[in-house]
Amino acid sequence: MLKTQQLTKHFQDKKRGAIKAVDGIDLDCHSGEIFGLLGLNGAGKTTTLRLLATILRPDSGTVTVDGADAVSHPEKVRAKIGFLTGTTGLYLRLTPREILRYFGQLSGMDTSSIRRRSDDLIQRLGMGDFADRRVDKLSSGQKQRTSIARTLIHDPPLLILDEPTTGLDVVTSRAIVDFIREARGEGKCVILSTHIMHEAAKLCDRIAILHSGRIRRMGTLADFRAYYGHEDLDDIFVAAIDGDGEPSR
Amino acid sequence: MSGTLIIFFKELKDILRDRRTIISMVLVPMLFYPIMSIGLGSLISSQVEKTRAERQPIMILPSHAEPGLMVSLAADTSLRLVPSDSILKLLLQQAENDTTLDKTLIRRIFSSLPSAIPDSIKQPIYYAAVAQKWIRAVAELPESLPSSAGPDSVIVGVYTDQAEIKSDAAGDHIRERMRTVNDSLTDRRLAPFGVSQRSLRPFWIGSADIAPKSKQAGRFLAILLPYMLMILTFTGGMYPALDITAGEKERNTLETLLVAPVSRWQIALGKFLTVMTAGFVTMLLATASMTFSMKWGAMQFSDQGAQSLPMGMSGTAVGWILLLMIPTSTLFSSLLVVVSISARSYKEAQSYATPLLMMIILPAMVSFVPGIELNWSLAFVPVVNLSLALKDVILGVEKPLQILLVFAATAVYASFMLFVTARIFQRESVLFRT
Repeated sequence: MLKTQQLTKHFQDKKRGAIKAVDGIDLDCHSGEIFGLLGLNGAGKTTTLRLLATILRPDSGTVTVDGADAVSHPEKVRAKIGFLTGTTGLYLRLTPREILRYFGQLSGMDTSSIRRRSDDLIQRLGMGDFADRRVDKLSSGQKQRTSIARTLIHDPPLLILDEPTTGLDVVTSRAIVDFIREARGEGKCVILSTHIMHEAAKLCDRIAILHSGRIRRMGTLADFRAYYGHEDLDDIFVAAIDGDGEPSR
Repeated sequence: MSGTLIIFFKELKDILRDRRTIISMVLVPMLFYPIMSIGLGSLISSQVEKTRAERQPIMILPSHAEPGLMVSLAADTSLRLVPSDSILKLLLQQAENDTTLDKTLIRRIFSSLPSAIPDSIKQPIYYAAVAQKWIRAVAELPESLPSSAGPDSVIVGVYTDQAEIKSDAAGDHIRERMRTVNDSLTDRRLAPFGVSQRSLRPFWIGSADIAPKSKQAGRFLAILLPYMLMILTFTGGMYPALDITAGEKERNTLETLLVAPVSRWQIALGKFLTVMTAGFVTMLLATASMTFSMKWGAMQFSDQGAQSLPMGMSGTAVGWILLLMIPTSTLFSSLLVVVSISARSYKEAQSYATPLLMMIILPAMVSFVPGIELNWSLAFVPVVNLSLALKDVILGVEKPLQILLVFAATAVYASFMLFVTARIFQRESVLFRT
């Protein structure tokens, strides 16, 4: 579903000069898989996800989604992506239904498919009570459900989620976790970044540990446990970033 | 529907639900001018009426002035004579606490002939009485009138505080009354010789305004309207521009739009069109409301009705204005979008937009300056060219080639800014400035 080759991105910093935020990343993620990007703050997770979502252009390397190149055909790629972050905002003066219509239209859907899909999402996510109320009148949980519906309106086969549970209460973050699992059940490819170890351990089929813009280790939780000899993911993570990806023993 | 139009209609719906936009785009232009011209106009005219109807207290000096003149002032129903003795008393009391007033000088003015005392001495004392509102004006009359005019002519002095409307009105009444007395005295002296004042004048001075009707009508609008048109187009688009660019960044919705399958230039164009529409609508609403309230105000408050202050504009002038305003609003809207998308937050965008507004206000004011006219080189100076071209168009001056050049030059600047707008939405360093 999603492949990257030697994906690289620099930023210019006034004090520090050129910074390599993403440094030669190779990924290969499949449909029906939850792929986790685990890293500290500043490890390059957000930049990587923005490159995958075509929000940023890579300095070098390639991203392909379902065979389409992200640099030469960004709009084709975007049509296949649903993107959500923990801090994603909504248009406060519109209603959830209007937001769904807007993003449906932008994705090139026709009026009847937008209506059908909106009704379906509103029902599935329990948004019936507030679908026609302005977003600025909604609770944070209702807003988050609206954001999920917005991400799914065009039924994208690839979901890119950047720290989607950041700052949410237990009930709302559980709704997000359920939504991620459901998406996998529907055969979507989910790429998820997080710095919360137990969230990654609970959800992800495969994990890449990212540090200073590079992937230190990639595999299943079982692979990591066998390789590093630790049971706890926190210990594995520390070992991975301390020892340049090599086992500490 | 194309991505640009989808974004345009959504942004339009969004900003129309924003109270700030409604206030700046609809309410201010629709209410400001009627309130200003009708409300303020009626307040001023009612104050003027009230002042005219009141009898203004005045003092005559010296107390033994020429009786005929004193009687004629006393007979004036808009004036009320206050005895100089009572003012003298009040001034002497005032001098107890006010060191700038000299009692000796006050007594001297009231006891001798004041016309012999220099202005520098008596004016502060008159002013003290007028400032206390005991009297509104001082009339200095001669003790007697000379039997022949010429070098023996005497002066009637009228002292008022012209910053005070009531004092000014009292002065007008005194002067008018004295002029009448002067004329009738002159006529009486000429009568034995069988001549009148009229027959003594070799010529009269006549004057006529030969400007065509359209130019006469547009004179007032020509000064104000070019400036107003430009400022309103800019300010009308300002809040929407800040809201849909810097505001979108601040509310973290920009990323969701960037991941939608539309190109960056479609996003830029959709937002630009929204800002341009808001500016254009504000300009149209304000111009309509201003023209209407001026016409209405002129009918209500001018003596001869609307005819004396015609505000009409020819259809050709309106056509030219609309034609010129298209590149103008394109230029301003793209400038606004570029400046506000470059900001990190709504607040930062506001601090960029204000100096930008100043940069437009100053050159736009050129229409206020008499004598500066559109020429082949000024036609290339942004904003200045528009201000002058709009002025010409309203006055109905025939310079179609120069005005077309202004249109073309502005269109070139606007296209360049539109190109910059489209480009800036491609720049990651601008979209993700933190």
